[in-house]
Amino acid sequence: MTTAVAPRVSAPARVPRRRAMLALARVESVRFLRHPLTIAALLLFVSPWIYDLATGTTDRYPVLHDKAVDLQILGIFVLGGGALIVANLNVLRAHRHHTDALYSTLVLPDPWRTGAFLLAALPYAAVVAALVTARIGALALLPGAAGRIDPAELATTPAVVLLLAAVGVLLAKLVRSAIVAPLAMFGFAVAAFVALVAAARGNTVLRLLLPVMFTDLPFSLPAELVDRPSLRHLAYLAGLAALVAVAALARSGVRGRPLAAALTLATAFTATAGAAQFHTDDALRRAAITATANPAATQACHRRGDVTYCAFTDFTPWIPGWEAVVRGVRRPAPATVAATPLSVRQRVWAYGYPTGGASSNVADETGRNTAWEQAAAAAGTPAAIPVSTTWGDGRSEATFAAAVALRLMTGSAFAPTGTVCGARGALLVWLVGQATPGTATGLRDLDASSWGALVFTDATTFMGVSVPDHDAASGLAALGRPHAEMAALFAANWTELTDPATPTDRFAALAGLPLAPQPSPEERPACTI
Amino acid sequence: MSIDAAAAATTPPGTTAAVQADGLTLRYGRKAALDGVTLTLGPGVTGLLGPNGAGKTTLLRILATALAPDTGSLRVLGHDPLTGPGRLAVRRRLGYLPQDPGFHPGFTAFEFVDYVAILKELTHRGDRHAEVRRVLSTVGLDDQRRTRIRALSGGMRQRVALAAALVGDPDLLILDEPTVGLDPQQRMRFRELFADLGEDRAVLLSTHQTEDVMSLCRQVVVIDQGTVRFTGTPAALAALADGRVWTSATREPRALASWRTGTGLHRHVGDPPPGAELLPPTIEDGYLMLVDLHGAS
Repeated sequence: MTTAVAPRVSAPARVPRRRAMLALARVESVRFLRHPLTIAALLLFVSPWIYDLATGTTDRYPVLHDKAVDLQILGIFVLGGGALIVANLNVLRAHRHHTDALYSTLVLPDPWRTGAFLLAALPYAAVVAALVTARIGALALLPGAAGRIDPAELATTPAVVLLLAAVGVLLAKLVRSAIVAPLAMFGFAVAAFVALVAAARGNTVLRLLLPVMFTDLPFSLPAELVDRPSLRHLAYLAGLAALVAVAALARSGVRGRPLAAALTLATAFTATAGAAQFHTDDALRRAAITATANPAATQACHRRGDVTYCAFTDFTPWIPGWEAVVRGVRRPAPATVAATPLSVRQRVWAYGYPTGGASSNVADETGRNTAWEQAAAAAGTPAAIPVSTTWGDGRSEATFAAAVALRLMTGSAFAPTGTVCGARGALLVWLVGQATPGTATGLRDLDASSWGALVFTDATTFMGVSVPDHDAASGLAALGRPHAEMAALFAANWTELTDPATPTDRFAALAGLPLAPQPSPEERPACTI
Repeated sequence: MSIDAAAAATTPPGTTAAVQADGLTLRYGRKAALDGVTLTLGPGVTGLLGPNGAGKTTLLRILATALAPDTGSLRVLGHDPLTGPGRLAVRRRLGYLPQDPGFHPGFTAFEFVDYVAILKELTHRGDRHAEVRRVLSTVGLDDQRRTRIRALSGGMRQRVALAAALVGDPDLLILDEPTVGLDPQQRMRFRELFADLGEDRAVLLSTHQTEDVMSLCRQVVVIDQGTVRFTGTPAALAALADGRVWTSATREPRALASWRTGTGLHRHVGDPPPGAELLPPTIEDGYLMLVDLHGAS
């Protein structure tokens, strides 16, 4: 041992507590960020992006405001769970390592230490915010990015992380056992699952009061129609985090007026923000009704060649994708047919979509469809081909291709329950499969999951068409034949093949395919188109 | 030397005693861990001796502000630690090395002591780091600053704990069995360090090592069954066994303590038989006389 040579620093007689708390928070925040669980959570959070980048499976048509919600759901379990456990372990560190005998004799009072532990989660939340922003920002740079970036939605994930970190601190103050935090996280996951089910069933209360608002529709909405009180929900989360933090400070020994004032303020703020989420926006409701029945007023139309594409303003980046499919379906059609001017109009069921296990009936759907078609015609796009707010997965592309093919063959668009049989059905399947690589993939997916008939249904509107397996089989088999040869054959015999009376056998004979066994009459579905 | 006289002798006239305790009592259920402890500590190293369970650690924890007594009055460094402001004032000038100090195995020695320094409210980063380097240097851990505690030996860990106690240059150091588990060389180094530290502050050293007390301490306090049995100089403690230590070739069953030494002769503490060959007493003999006598009573 050596004799001290450096000047001694005496413990200060009095320093602002805040400075000591911030110094401790700085050290704890570094330990928070360096904790193996934190690093694992961050890696797990970014692993889907890395996987997408590595495999080239990045969603090329993301809806930004929905992607932000998807990140919240991942974030709450991975990043939020990590924050809860790490914050809890950090507070319990002195107890777990038996240093509390020493620490209990040191100067900084317990409430200030608790304050430091609460503040220590801020840099982690900042990292989370940066990751979320980077992810959504990168998606926004894609040419096919639709939707809008909602800053409140982006801030929700770091807010949830802060809330759960505060819960971790509070739990450590209540129970000096490291097992409680993982158990709490498990309970939280169960509650989130219940909320997910509740959201799917239309239970607004559970949906809004849990940290992450799960979406209650299985498809995207235009940004201006999204019924998510994101800013009020963010305020509610901030209030909850403040409330938990105040509880942790109270548990650490803070008493008196400041505590009462903070508690009152946090409770009032949380209650107000929580209640404000339930405020219904009549203007939004009216806009949803309009967008569902007559979207022309809120859509922008772009003419490309002899095709008019009308989309909700934040979905116009998808038009090139739609155009590729239209071009692919039209390519093998005879020139007279291919030259027919077409219009494509985006369609969304923004109001009255049956959630919570409810179902719509055919009469309602037919009526709604008729009204929509009339509105589209009035807007200068008669017999518009509907396209949904889902794009980029093969199925949606195949479904859209089927709608285009149906329009070319019959002159009309989707109906609620249309069945196309015979040579028309086989030709429709072939047209879909050969249009683009995306439609080919989607067709294979649909074929793998269909039974009895190949069903092209738009989950957004329930509109669609189905082709019985017997007929679809010939169309699928024709996709295995040389494309140029098939295209020439079908173009030359277009009128015959699109005649409802032409049987599939004729299609097979033309394509040089073996005849498929005929289904029994009772197995054969009614052909409605 | 009487107990009161010894206490008064340790506090130079005109200076404030580091510790003034009067009638401290603390009970754990029906058991009295401390039973009316009264003592005064001045500057220099004071040894605290006592058998296991005597109440030493409880007394040290009270002095270190980790526990509050049930009754009695206490002033530490001129402040009343039983009040909030007094407790904080004491903590600012106190260094405490608890018995079995815990460590964060993932921290480096520097990080651990730095953490303690923050909790001592050394907020200026540059000054704090300089202080951490100073105390680590003082305990001879310059080269192990960046080593994680899990990789340090037991002796080195004990030095880390001592460094943590030294942060902020405290006026009162309370060390609870700091040399347990150390090899003789390390104990000697600690002894040197405690002697240096005791030159300009009060050091209260709880130990079972009577040699440490003899070689280091200006004052010694013996506590047993929650009560102070002796306060005085180490020589005075040894003197309690004057004329009551003798040697013989055979074991003496009537002695308070009797054992065969390395020379083959037996050493006895107690009432010697007539004509016994008396030996000069050690502090350990005095301590044995004191504790055993009270235990016998």
